[in-house]
Amino acid sequence: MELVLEVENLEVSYGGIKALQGISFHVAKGEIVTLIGANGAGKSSTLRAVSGMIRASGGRINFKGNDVTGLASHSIAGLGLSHVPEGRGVFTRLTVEENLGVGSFIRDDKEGIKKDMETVYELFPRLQERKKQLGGSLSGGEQQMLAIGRAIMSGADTLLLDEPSMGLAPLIVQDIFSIIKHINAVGKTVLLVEQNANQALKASHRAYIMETGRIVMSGNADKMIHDPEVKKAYLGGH
Amino acid sequence: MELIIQTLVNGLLIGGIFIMIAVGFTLAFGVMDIIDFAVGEWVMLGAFAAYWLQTLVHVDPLLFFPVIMLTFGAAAYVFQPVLQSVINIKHRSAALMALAFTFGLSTFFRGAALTLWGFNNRNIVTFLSDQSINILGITLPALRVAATVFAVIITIGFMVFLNKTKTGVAIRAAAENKTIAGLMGIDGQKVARTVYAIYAALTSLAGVFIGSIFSVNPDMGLRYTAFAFFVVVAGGMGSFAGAIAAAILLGLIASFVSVYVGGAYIFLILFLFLYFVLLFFSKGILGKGL
Repeated sequence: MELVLEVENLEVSYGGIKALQGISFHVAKGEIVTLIGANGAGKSSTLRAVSGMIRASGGRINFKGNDVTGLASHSIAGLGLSHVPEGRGVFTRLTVEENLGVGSFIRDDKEGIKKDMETVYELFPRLQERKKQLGGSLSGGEQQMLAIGRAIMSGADTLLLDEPSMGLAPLIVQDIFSIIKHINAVGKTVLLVEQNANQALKASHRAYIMETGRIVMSGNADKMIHDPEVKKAYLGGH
Repeated sequence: MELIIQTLVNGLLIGGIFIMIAVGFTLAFGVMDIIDFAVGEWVMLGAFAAYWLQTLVHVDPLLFFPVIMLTFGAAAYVFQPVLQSVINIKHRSAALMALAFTFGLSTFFRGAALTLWGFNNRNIVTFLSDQSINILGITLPALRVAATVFAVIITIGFMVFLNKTKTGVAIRAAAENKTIAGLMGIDGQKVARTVYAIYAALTSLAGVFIGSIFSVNPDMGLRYTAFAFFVVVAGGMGSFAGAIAAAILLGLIASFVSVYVGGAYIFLILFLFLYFVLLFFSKGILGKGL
């Protein structure tokens, strides 16, 4: 098992308040791993610290053999990690095509970029129809597609996805999850954060459950989905 | 009738120079999130650079504009991290401190110029000075025409750069959201430095033209700071099209007011106009701002 991401005792504070109280987890190559937990459990903070959006106040983050703790986000992106942040972060004043272009900013291989652009348009035909439209004019679902498309364009082998299903209609949520499974099947490692625990567990290999800045449980997703405790707390008791 | 047309033409031609300042200023504002109160001093220093080039080196400053632009661009590129470190200070009022810093910088430049070079008005003579084109009784001073042609070429070039090149699109992305741009591998700090250098180079070129058309003195900068402020606010913060429209409008207002009302009233009328723009079109005259 080749580890892509190894996090040890990660701590993050916001103005003296500890959002992460020393968490450790790992993601192996080819996995989909989910972080599950209530609002404020520290899931998004974890992703932000890994991608360098925020600074860790303690602990160590290792990405593909590089110590990336404290590196700026643009340097971490250069190592092949793409973070699709909460709220999607689509550039509203750039067209769909330009958004995808910015996604491939760190790459020089024209052929590869062209191929990935075709892949994105194949996965999301809607984006091709709207490629000249401004990012800000897209619906929530389309913006999520664009954000994921942009991550594919980066050529990164590891994607961090923060709440990809947030605010989307159930049908589109299904689409998004099947696409996450698809891009994983073609070789991308995925670290996912979700409030929609049911869907996320179905799509994932492994999961960690977070509560108030700590990891309280971890294991295989298919086992967790049947765990009575998990069911009661996170899957709505069904 | 002829006077009206002449005034209109003058306004459009002077608006062309303001475009040069407006485009860089808007971009710098978009990327660095601060209003640079020293903008007018870059104009003043650009004009002085042209004057000294003429006086000491005995060359036509207008022909050596690339040297001036490169020098100012390089100086700004070196200086930008200092300004950035003030903007990035972890403090509640960091934005205000940065604003005060650029204001202090402007005072320093003005004071230094005054001490070094005195208050005299100086003139720049270029190969285009005293040349003009006459069309149907309307006089087009060659220098102003050249300035406008330059402004138009530079603006178009700049727009092509921002819309069609990889670096240009990355700059626009960083102007909208530096954090997200960082996740795409774009180094926001580097973008800010580059943009600040482009802005200083463009502004110094505007200074060369303004110094050649009018005259050069250490106190000339302040009015262009006020003009730049007018242009970004009236155009809608961060909007290029708006800034260009506002720059032309500024030229027209300045021209008509100085002919029909009196030069002393330019600022009064300009900022009264701005007041109403903000009151009724808070997103700028084209409705494209933040």
